[in-house]
Amino acid sequence: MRPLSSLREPQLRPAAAASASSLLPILSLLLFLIFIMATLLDCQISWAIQKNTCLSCHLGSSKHELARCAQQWLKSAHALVSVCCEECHGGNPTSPKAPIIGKEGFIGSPSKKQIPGLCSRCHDDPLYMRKYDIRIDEENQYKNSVHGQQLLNNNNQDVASCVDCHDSHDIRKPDDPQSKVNHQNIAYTCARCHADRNLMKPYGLPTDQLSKYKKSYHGQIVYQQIERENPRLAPSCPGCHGIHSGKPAGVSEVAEACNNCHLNCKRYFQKSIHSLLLKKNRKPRCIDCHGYHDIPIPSEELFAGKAASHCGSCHPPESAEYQCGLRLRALIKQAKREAALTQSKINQLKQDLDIDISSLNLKMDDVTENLKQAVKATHSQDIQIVSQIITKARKIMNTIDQRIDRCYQEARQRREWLEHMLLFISASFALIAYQRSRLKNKLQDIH
Amino acid sequence: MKVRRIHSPHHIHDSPDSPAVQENQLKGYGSLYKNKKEETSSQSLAAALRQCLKPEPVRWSSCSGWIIFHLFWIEGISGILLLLYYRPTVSEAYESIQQITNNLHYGWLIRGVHMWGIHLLILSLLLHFWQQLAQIYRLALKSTWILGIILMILIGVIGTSGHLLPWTQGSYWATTFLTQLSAAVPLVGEPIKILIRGGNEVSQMTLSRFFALHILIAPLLFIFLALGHIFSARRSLIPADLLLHVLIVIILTGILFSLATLYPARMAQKADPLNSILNIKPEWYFMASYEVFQLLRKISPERQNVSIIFGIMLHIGIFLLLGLLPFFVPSQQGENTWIRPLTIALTAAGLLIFLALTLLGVCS
Repeated sequence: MRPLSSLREPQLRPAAAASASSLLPILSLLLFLIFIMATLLDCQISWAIQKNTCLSCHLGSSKHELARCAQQWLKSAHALVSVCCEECHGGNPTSPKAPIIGKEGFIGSPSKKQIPGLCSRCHDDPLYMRKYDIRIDEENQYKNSVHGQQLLNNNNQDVASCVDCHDSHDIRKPDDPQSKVNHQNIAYTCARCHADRNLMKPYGLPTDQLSKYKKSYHGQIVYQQIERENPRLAPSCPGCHGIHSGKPAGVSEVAEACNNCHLNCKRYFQKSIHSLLLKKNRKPRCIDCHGYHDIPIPSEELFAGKAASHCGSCHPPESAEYQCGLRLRALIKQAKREAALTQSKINQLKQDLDIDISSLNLKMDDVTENLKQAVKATHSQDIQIVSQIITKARKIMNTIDQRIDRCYQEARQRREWLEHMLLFISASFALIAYQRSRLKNKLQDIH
Repeated sequence: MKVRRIHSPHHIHDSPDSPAVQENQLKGYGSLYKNKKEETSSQSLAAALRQCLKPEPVRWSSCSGWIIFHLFWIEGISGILLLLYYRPTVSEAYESIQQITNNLHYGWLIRGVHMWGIHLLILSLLLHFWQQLAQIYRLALKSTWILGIILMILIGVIGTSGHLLPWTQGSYWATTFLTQLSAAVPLVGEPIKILIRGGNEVSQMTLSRFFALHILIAPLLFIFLALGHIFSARRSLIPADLLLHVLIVIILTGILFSLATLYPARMAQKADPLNSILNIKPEWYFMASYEVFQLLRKISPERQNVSIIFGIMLHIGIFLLLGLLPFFVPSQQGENTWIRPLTIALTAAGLLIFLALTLLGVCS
C-alpha cells in the first residue's frame, strides 16, 4: 500500500507555478464560458430536435434522401441560429403527426419560383439581419439579374435560384471552405450549370468559362499557382459578374467591371484616346485587348507580337497609333532589361563579397513597383507619362548601381587599409624586436 | 615578488662584489645600485620598469597563457565598443548588429575583431590546455590547474552566451538545442532548462540572461579567477619581458585585423522561432562534444533520453576528472621517470580523439 505522503499533490515548478497561477483565473473563466456556450448551443439544437418532429423523423428515417436533408441542416449556418424547417417549409413542427401539404401552412418542397420570396422573408429584414451583419438587398439584386428576370417573369426553370448556389439545406457561411459560394469554390458552383452543354445550348452560351478561367491570370492566382499573390484579391466569377445582380456595383456592363479593382489602369486609361472612343462607340473595352475568362498575364506582346488582340490587330502597321504601341513596347522592354541587369549585379555582389543585400533588395522592390506603374501607364498611350515613370525607376537603379560600386570600392579600401595596417604593424614589430635584441645584447655585455 | 627583493635590507647591506649585488646589477642594468643611498622613488620605479623590460628567452610554454590574457582584453575593448550600439532586445538585437556591421565607421572591423578574437582565444586556450596537460607532472601548485579548468569552462560560457546575442537563426536554434539537452536529465533537468531560458522557450528572457552572462557575470568571474591562476603559476602579477608582450599584442592585432578584413563577420538570417532550421551545428569548439552526443544517439536511437543523459554524465565526468587530475598524478621526482612518457602518450591520445571528433563533426 502506498504511504499517504506519496499521495501528495504534485508541486509545480516555481517559474511554471507563477505563470500558471496568473493564467489560472483567465483559463478557468474561458473554460467556463466555452462550457456555457457549448451547453447553450447544444441545448438549443437538442431542444429544437426534441421539439421539432420534422427533424426527429427525418434524422431517424432509414431513407438516405430523407435523412440527408436533416443531417445537412444540422451542419448549416441556419442551425446555428435556429432557423428550422418550418421557416421555409411551413407546417407545425410540434405536431406529432406527419404533415399534409396545405394543412397548417405546410408547403412541402417549395417551387423554384417561391424560393427567392421565402429566403427574402428573413434576408430582406434589416432588423433581423442586422445582428448577423448580412446584406439585405439580395432579393432586389436577384430580381434585376438575368437569372431573376428569367425565373420570375418567364418562369424559366433552367436558371439558378438561391438554393442552386447556396444549397437547400447545407447552407454555409461564404468564408467556410466547404461552402459552395466560398471564393475558391464559386467558379465550380457556377460551372455546374454553365459548363453543362445541354443546359446552355438553347441560350447559345459558351460552356468553356471554367476551363478558360483556370488558365487565366486571375484563376492562377485564386488557385494559388502564382507565388506571392493573394488569392483573396483576384476575382472569381462574382468579382466581375456580381454576386446576385449579375452586374457588379457601379458598372453598366461586365466589361467595365475591371475598373473596380484596376484603379490605376482606369486612371491612365481615362487620359487616352481609347477612353474617348469608348464613350462614343462603346469600344475599345478592356476585354477587347485583354480578353475575358482566359485573361493572360499581361506582357509586351499586347503592343505588338503574338497576342491575338495586339495593337496591330486594329491599327495598320504604318499608322501612328501602331508606332506608338511599338515605342511603348520598346520602352517597357528596355526598362525591364535594365532592372534584370541591376538585379543580376546585386546577386553578383552577394556572390563576390557575401554581404547583406537586404537594403538593395528593398530598393529593387521600388524599381519593380515603378515598372508595374509604367506598365499601367501604357493605358494612357502617352509616351511622356510612361517615360517619366521609367525615369524614376532608372534613378533608383542608378542609386543601386552607385551603392554596388561603393560596396566594391569599400572592399578595395578595406584591403588597402589592411595592407597599410600590416605594413605599420610589421614596422612596429621590427622596431620593438630590434630594441629588445639590443637590450638583450646589452645585458649579455654587462653579464 | 622580484621587484620587492631589490629593496630588501639584506641586499642593501651586501658588499659591492658579492654575488647578490652582481645579480641586482644585472637586474637593474648595473647603474641603479651604485649609489643606493641616493635612491629615490622615481629611480625605484625606473628600476621596476627596467626589471619588467628585461628580455627573457622566448618559450611557447611561457607565451601561451599570456596570449589568452592579451586576447581577453582585446575582446573586452572590442566588446565595450560593440556595447555602445548593441540593443539587447529580441526586436532590436539583429537590427543593431546590422547597423554596427553596415552603417557604422569601422563597425565591421570591431565586430570582426570581436568575433575572430573569441575563436583565437579558444584556440589558444585549447593549445595552452593540451600543452599544460602534457606537463602536468611538473605542476607546482594544484590550484593553478583547478583554476585553469574553471577558466576553460567560463570561456565556454562566454562563447555560448555571446553566440546568441546577434539573434540569428543559427544562434537561436543552437541555443534552443543546447538548452533542450539539459531537459533530458530527470528531476533537475526541466528546472535547469527553465532557469537558463528564463521560461519555457528561448525568448527575450533568455537573451537578457545571456547578455548579462556574456558582458558582466562570466567576464568578471574570469578576471578574478584568471588573476588567481596567473599568481599561483608565476608568484607575480607583473609580467616580465614587457617588450615581448608588446610584440605578442602586435602580432595578435595583425592576425585579427587580417581575419576581420579578409573574412568579415556576416549577417545571417534573423531568428524566426516559427521556422526551425534542419541542420543545427554548434561552433567548432563544441563540435567534439556535439559529436559525442551524435554518436551516443546513433548507438541507441530508440532511447534518445538515455543517450543524452549518458552524454551529459560523460562530460561532467571528464571535467571532474580533469579538475582532480593533479591529485592523482605523481611528480617526476625520484623514481617516477615513467610518468613523463606516459603523460605525453595519454595527452597525445586525448588530443587525437578530440581532433578526430571535431573533424567528424565539421565534416558530417
